Amino acid sequence: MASLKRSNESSLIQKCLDGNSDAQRELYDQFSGVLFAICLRYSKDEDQAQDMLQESYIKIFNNLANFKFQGSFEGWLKRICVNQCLDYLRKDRSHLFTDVNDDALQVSIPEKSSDALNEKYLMSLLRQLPLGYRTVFNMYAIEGYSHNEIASILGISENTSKTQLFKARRLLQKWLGNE
Amino acid sequence: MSDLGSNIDKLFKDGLGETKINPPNSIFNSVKGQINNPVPNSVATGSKVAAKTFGFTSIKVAVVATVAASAITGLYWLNANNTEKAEPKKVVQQKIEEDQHSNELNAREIEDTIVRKNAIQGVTENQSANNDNTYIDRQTNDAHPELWVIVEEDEAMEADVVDEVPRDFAKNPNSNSIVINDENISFDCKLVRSEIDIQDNSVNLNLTNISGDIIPIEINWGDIEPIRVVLENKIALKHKYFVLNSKEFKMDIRAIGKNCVQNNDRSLLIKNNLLSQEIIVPNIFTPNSDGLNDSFYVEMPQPKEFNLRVISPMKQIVFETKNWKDKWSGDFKDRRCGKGIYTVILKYKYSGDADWKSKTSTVWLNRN
Repeated sequence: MASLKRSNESSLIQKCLDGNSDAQRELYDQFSGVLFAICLRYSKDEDQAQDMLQESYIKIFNNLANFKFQGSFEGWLKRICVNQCLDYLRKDRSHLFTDVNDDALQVSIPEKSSDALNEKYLMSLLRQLPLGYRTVFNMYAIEGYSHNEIASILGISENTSKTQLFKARRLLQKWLGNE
Repeated sequence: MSDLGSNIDKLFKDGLGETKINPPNSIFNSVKGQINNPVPNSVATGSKVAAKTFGFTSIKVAVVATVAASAITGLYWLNANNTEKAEPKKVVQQKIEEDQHSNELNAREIEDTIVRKNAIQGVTENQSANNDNTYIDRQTNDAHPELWVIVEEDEAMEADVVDEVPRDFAKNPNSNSIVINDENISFDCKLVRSEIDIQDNSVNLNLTNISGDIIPIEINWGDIEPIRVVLENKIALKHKYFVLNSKEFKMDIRAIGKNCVQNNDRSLLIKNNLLSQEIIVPNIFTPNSDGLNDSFYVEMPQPKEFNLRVISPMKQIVFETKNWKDKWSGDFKDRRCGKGIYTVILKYKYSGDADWKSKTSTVWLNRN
């Protein structure tokens, strides 16, 4: 089953490389949901997320030839997407790790639905975190980067990374507790 | 808290790690226009053949990957072993990543700030000298990607930020503040008066325009790309050099007037006391002759008087020295000391100090 998936993948990739627009559309459709969710996690609003997604896909299609068939294709796509999101944020880096007064943040905690911890709810909390907190929390908790890696990717110190994560967790904790 | 923390992490990872949210349809259309497609030739046959070759290569790749993976595991294992044997890092070193893009942006930002500030100064000319100053603090060392610096907490994150307010540097008792001004130097062409104040590794530069015109000035600090400023009245710049001990920099201030150019070359000897003033007493060492932390010694700037004692867990003085460069090999009377926690008592006096200062800590002597 896995090998079938793999051969489907490789033929899809090859078709995309050959410039087959149907195949490109298929590849886009297949992964756009996953990748858009990543972009949403890293962005402050939907416009920004759309920009990120667009840039990610442009990068993906133009670097498809570099995919070496090592590891999963989806993982590769996600990695490109995360890097693209970070690149996007880096343009704005001077504001990335400012000190934030946690209490002064204006937060609108959405109505608790039947499934209180559903995706939409979590996403809306996550996206209300200040930029620096959100970036580090995303990278550490969801993408699974280590502090060391985060520090070198973002050009900050490991300590900054740790504090930002700590503050992000504390804030989320508070919001979750307040529901 | 760590439990709570990882719970939160898990909650979000499980909740959002695999989420799919469909983006609006329009995005693909804008992507499509920017794909670099190959020139189409024999698309139909090409794809079939390629699919087969891909199948084959992926097997090959898999084999290579396995070999590579085992090699990496081997390396990792070796590494892990090594780290186990030794090495609490005495100094945390971190490389400031070269970031070409943001560097360019940054340089532009800085110039902008200077020019803008100058424009403002034109208006607030009569205010006190303090308010007239613009402080620029460049910490980027992108011109020296090979340079490794000791990064204080949160310093890296501040590295790219332009401060308009001077940052308070820790006052260092050993710092030698040197002020150089050019009042006594005769220039063929005198447009700008300069005053350079060197304090540890940071340099304050005050420039006063005496030409009566608005003139462009190029300042070459000697370690980064020169910066250009349009000077109207006065400007104060702050620059930080990255040096581990001491290094000489050629600094050049060039003012371009209507009829002549004033060149003011200086060489600045920068000694970094801020970094070296720290006293580093390692908390572990491993005398096993592997070249890593084989001896115990204190790292500090040269004191006037110095006394170091190491006391064994049995309360015996196993090492004592008055020379700050002496290293303890872990032996006492030609016998190896056993592993354990040793107490270190350090007393020192810098030149100019009236009283002894002391510092007590422990060091773990480890042998396998």
